Amino acid sequence: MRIEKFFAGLALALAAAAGAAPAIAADHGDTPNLIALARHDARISDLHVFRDGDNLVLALSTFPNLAALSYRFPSDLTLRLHIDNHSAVSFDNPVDNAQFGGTIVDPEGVGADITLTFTFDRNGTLELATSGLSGRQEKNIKLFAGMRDDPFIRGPQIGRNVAAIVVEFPLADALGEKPQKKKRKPKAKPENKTLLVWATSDVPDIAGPYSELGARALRSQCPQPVCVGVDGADLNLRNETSPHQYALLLNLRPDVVIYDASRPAAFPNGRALTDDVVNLIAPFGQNILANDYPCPSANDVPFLADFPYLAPPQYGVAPPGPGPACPL
Amino acid sequence: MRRIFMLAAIAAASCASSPQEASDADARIQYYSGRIEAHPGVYALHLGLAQAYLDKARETHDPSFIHAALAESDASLSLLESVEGFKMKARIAAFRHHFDEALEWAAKAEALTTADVDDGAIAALKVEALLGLGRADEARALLPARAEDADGFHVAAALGHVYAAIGSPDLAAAAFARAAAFAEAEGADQLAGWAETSAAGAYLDAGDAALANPHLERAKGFDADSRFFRTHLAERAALEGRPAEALAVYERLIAEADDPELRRRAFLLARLQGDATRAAAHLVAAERLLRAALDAGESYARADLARLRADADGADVAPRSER
Repeated sequence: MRIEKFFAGLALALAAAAGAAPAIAADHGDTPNLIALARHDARISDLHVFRDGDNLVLALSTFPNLAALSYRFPSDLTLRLHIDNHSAVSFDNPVDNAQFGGTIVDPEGVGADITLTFTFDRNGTLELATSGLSGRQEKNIKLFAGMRDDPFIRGPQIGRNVAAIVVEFPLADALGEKPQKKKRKPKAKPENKTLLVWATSDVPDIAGPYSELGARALRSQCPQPVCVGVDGADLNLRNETSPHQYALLLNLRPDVVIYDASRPAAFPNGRALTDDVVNLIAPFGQNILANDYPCPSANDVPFLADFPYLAPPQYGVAPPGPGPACPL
Repeated sequence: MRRIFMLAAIAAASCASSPQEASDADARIQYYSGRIEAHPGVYALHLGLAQAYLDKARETHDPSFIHAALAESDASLSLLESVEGFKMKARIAAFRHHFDEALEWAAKAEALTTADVDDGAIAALKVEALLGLGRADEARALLPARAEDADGFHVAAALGHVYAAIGSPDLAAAAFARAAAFAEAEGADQLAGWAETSAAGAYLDAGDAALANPHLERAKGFDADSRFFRTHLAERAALEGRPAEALAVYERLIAEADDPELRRRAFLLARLQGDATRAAAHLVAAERLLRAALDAGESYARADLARLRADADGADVAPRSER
């Protein structure tokens, strides 16, 4: 019997190492390293970027398929929201506009002008640090951290929750706009109204720190070659690569959300909570989100009109099982 | 790339126990213990430590590590119910031969998954438990009939186990070979070596060394140092009528890390060669190891001890016929 244990032991060891194999699905399965370590608490599932009046709202979802009655963010996790307000974005390419929200003129120049860093103490209490914002601007940040309904409009997410961070602060601060003095002459050069936004998570591990880069979500780089045949190593490489290195190292567009603040936020220009991205990317995604049964076009519970916008968590709701493919 | 490193590290620690591999489990125990001290509320760290303890239990057959693994998996679940937490409980239960319990934990894990996730690992856990309960037909029903329809390592390996259990070495070898292909594609050479060795094992169990040889050759190319692989080399030597060679391999493995099953085999081989003193030493050591497990409340050792005693009372028994 002992030898049988050898047999079983290795299979189970792989089970431990590999965890649940990600299906060809949403960004929810884009992090093989973190899945392998059962670090679902560090997995980024979605990033929404939208406006409420003059404010910018960033909603970062982590821990997909969170099935718990309460949640405490891990004390070894660092989440970051990065904002680039200097990169020029062209809107001359209709294909890029439709798929990515625009064309970043200098991909290697992408870098964060503003970073919001979230850490947690042993009680799960959030601690925020910022760079690129003044003390006054930091005080303007409205902040939420906790369990919410999974805002991803997709069949398997029905009834599921996520661990969410939501921030809201003046769009002008995100754009790096200086307060206008009354008698100041208009600038000769129009100000950049476009933001690039992305999120990262980091946890330490015995094999070194692991990172995830989550931005446009939904494997927005698909159907570019790296996503074809979804390969763990490629996905890990993506997660270990900074946006400015994407073009150089991966021959990909930077994995960031492009948001032209002069226009309404609607995917792929930012991402509103109500955007049914599964359907919106279907023409570009080579059916990568086919398992959307029962094919919802709206969230299973209503979003809130006010901060923190994400719906309260649900408890005891069984998610739908697999079903037929949804019509594209 | 780091994933591959981790897969290999964990797999090695789980299936084998050479000094180098044993130190991997020790390193993980030390690492995760330190991390938990700093971050006691992180459920995944407790799972990492539980896995390390379970691997250590596999290596040393010291039941205290099983209990430590249980405590850590319980700690993880008390912090957060997770698929991996339930799978860990199933894994530990299966190791203890509590197969009914393993099935219950696997069902809990399955209930937490969604249509988003195709968790072949849970299927593999259920298959292991069902095979342990002698319910091979049910195990088989969980899996595709053909190796080529297995969509991942877990399922292919589980299929190999099922076919091996029901005495279909060709089908078992095909399934294990497919598992090896999956592992190789991921760059996980140690896992590929394990799967190829398992394919060879299916043929060795059927008494066919010739068909086992190509798989052993491939396994050698992946991971010649593997304890699992070397165990099968010993099995082949015994099968091909070279008991002295087989005994020497077993004794080298025992010197690296003691194991009651290897002791039992060494006992049988020594006795076969008429070396009563050597045989007695292995018999005593095997019984000591099993009794320690029994004394710690691990009932799985009872059947092993009974078999050992049956071997001790019997006439010359070839090791392979005991399988």
